[in-house]
Amino acid sequence: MNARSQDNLSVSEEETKEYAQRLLRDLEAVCVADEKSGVIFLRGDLGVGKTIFTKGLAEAMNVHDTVTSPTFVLQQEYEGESGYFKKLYHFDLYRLDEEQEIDYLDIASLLHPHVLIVIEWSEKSERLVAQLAQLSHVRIVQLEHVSPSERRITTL
Amino acid sequence: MNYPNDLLLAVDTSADDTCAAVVRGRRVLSNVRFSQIALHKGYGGIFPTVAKRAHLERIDGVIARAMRQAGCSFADLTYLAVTYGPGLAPSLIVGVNAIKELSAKYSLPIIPVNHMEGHIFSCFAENRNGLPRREIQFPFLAFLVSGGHTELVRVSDYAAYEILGKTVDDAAGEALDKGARLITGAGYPGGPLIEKLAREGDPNAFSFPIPMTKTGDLQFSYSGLKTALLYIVRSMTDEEREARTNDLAASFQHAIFKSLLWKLDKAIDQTGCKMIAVGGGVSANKLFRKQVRVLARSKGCRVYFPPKRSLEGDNAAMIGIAAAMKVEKRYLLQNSADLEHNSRATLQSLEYSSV
Repeated sequence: MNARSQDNLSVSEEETKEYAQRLLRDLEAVCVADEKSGVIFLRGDLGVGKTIFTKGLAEAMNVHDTVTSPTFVLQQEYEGESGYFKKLYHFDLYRLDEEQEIDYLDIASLLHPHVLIVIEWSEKSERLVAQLAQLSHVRIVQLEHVSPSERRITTL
Repeated sequence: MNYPNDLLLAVDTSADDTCAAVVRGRRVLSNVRFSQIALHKGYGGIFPTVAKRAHLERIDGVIARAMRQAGCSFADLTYLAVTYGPGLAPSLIVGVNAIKELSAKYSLPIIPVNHMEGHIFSCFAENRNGLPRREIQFPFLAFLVSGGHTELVRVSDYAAYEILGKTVDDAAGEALDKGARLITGAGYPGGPLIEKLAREGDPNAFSFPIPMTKTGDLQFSYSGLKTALLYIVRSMTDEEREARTNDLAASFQHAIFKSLLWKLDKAIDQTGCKMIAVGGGVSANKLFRKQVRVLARSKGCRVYFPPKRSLEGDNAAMIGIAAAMKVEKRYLLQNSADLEHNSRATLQSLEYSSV
């Protein structure tokens, strides 16, 4: 594990959300400095809490809408009302299998200042991860099952 | 009933499928859905799979086919209808732009339709001969259950909706899909597979928590149930899991349906509605239909499901029918340039509903 990585054991949905909010503040600080967008790649199995994590981010941004799973529709967007990030895009690549399908979403075109993009199942396209990392500030967050009520969260 | 005799072309590109249809009032003259299968059959397999979600490449062909099957030309049309939301923004734009172009070219007014309105009115589709005849009695309850949505809506009139409850995380159909993945490793979509496996299984073999029964509201939640399934599956050896596949599927499906029925029961009591319209892909599930029918009967309610398989999932005929209802009420868009997509459109604050 490299020196930058942070490791944390979450024992509740609340703690997962708090972890998300700490990460958001940290990412915000970096993005404010050069007016770039932020991208968070969420990795982990079904049921590990990726949507809960995103709900935590949205709460910190003061999003009024309920964050729901983007699995079917592939992309959800929300307006934030506080902090640097004013817009949240929530992607889920779960249903996509081919790089070309992922290209069709044209995620890079959304990278404007004040935009936060969260992408679930980004493991499906390392090319996308590399592409977005060149254009924005990225964090890769790994969530793992430890027990039914515990999750290990690591920022790589 | 006197429905307008006007011919209407409708388009829906809100998600995966590229859809176009021609309707006359509630009568469906054509209903074309461009899926992967149609793609290979109709176009000689020349389309690369890269076009899977590229509505742009298919929209003109789908519209042309819908017009041909209905036996009409653009000169015969009176109105155009299109889904403006909710859905995937890049996909919605394709349908909206196609309809705007047609509107300009043939000077036809546009009726913007919310995708969920389409699912509500899919239950009232008729064939060319006007069958089945189903009377719409306001107010009624709409129960929309699919891979992307789980919503209970009180419909008090055309374009007058109140969302009573919806999911706070995963949709019911999505939970079924992901359950199939956890139980069998199957890819998307897995809902029909769960239904098939569940037929041979014991719904009480495993006990799952029935979500949201203590909240006192009409909201839904399925992410916790998904996690509960994950841990049951994880505690099993591969052999055990294979031996209990049917029981797992039956028990998981049972828990989802039980929570859906629990909320429907509450909504009927709360609203006093005597009619229920069920729409969305999960309405295809035979056990779910049966359970809804039993509940409706016990409450003295009439219940309607989409009359045809092709009307259950996403399609454009339902958009045309919802639009035809709006024609009656004169919900028309005067200036087609004003039409914009809205990926997060909701029934609660309906756009384009002023007379």
